[in-house]
Amino acid sequence: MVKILVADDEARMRKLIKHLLSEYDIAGEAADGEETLEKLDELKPDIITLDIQMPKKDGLEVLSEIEGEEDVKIIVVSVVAPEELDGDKLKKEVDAYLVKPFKQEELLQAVKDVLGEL
Amino acid sequence: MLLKYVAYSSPLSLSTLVSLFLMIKSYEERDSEIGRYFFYMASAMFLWALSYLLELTIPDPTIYTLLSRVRYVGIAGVPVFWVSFTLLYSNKIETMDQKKLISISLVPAFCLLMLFTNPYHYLFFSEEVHMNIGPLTTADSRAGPFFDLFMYYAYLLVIVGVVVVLQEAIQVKDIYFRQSAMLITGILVPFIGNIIYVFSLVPLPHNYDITVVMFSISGIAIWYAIFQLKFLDILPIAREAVFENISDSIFALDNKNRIVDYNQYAEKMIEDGLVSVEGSDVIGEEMKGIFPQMSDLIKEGEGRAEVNLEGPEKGERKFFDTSLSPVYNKRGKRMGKVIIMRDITQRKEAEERAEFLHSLLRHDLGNKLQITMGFLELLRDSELSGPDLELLEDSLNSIEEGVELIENVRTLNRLESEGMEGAVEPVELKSVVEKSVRRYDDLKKEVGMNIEVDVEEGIRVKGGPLLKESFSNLVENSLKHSDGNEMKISAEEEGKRVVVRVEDDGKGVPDGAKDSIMKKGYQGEGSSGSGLGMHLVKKIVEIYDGNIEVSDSEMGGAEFDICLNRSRQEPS
Repeated sequence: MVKILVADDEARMRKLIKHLLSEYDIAGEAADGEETLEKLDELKPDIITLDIQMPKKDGLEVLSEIEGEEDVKIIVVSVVAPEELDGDKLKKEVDAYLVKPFKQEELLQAVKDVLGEL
Repeated sequence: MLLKYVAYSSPLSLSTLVSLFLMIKSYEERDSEIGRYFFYMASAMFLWALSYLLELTIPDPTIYTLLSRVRYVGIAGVPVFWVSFTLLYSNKIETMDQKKLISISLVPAFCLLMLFTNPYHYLFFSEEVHMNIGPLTTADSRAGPFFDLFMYYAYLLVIVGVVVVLQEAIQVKDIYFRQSAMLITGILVPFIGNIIYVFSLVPLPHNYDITVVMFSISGIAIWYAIFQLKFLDILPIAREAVFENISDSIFALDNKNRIVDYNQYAEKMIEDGLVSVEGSDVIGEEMKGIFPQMSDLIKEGEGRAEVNLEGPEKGERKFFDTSLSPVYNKRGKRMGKVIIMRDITQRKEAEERAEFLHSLLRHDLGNKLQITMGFLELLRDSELSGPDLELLEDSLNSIEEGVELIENVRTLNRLESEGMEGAVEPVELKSVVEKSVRRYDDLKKEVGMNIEVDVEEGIRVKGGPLLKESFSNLVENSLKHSDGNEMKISAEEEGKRVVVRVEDDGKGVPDGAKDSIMKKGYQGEGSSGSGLGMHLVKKIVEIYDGNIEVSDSEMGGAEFDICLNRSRQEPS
């Protein structure tokens, strides 16, 4: 079964994403960038839903540290729009990008799209 | 006899002195190319006058011949340097390089060679007879073909120079006109004297060359033109008043981007440690050496940029709106550059604070709405039914509208900061208007207002996703505040524009409020809104290069006419 790691500093947001993606195996969750990197190493998820604004290490730092690791698909879920970040860098490293607030169907579709590539 | 000697030699001595004076004065200006060529011309004049003075007084034929040859070197030099000077003076050429100088000098140089070798071919002077008349020595020489070439070529150069200066005199005004006129007088006087001498138009005793004598008159005119009218002076008269007291930092640069002057505010910048420089005087320093942040701007030669400087205290930053403009003199020659640095630190910090708060609100609110919307969507998918489901749908609709509003504010913010590029697309008007109206179906029922949409299919305008927000705001405004029963939305194509009319039969907009209703924060009588709605309508319409007008409708209430650009493209 497809394993998903949910990384977001807001506990209720993690809870929501877990509910929305309940048909998949939620392997774990992380509340900051450092924990995300630890869980990535430990759980080896297929997909990670990654928030950008997180304590300790933000989403961009996480992205730069896992650069080149092809076996994890990344869905960024953030209130920060891609145009507010380094767009070129994100295009290379991210498989999907959802700007909060998003609709339930949008997240499910993003996961399906990413799974199609797996 | 002595009287005759004095009569002939005195004007020559005066001319020699005047030429020497010009030579010395112009030597001080040799740093500029124009000044340098004027110095060369004055030196040639001096050589001409001095050798002629000595020539007349030395009876020895060998020395006389040598001096007369030297005189011709001076004669050859004057027109060559005159034309070089005038071409530089009038900006006809950027610089007088060796190639140009050699081209101009080729003919006189060859003629001089022919003069120095004249006894072997007699092609410069066909005949040369020396005469001693009392204390004076003179010669009765007959012109050969190379003498004619030499003289006519010299005349040609003088005439070219005069024409060039004349063109300048016609184009410029005031001080520069007087300067040009003086220069022309200065060169024409000896030129006419030379024509009289060469063609013997007036019988002169002992073949006396009055050209040199004329220098004493012309020299004064030229001296006045060049040094009294200060043609190299570029600083404005009101320099002290404007340059020093303006509350911006100003640096004046030369053409090599070295600092030649700066005002007291710039000096304060240096004293405050915003510039890394040894000592307090930066005159002569290269601008980009002191401000590496400006390298690109200096390279471009003209423009505007924001320059950030670090202060001596940790974390201290200063922001400057910096403009660089070339400086030209009245004749259009570029004399350097001026850099004006306006301190915008306070404004910048206020903008950053506002952006931070805006971003915080937008992001945090977005996050909270996301969570609420997500859980409500999950709830909708559960076993709820009947009135409970209806309440849930209302909550979701309301949140979705809030989400949409955040999205619109985000887009508006982006459009305002980044401009319109890529944001305009063809929009099917009928569909957008109908969606805007449908959004208020519930409110319409609640207030008992009827809305008629009279927009033909196929009318397209240049707009974007924000346009719906604009129409929605107008519909909502009418429903909530007009107290009317009927609303009509119609559209009409007028050439390249489309006018969308939103009108009602309500109480209308009072005349006194028609101008202010679109302003940010305006609240109508009894309104409890944020005062942003109508302002947003105006901003959105303007973003799409449209405009909006408020008037009284024939229906009896308010009328809002939104004028947009028509699009012939199909919506994507």
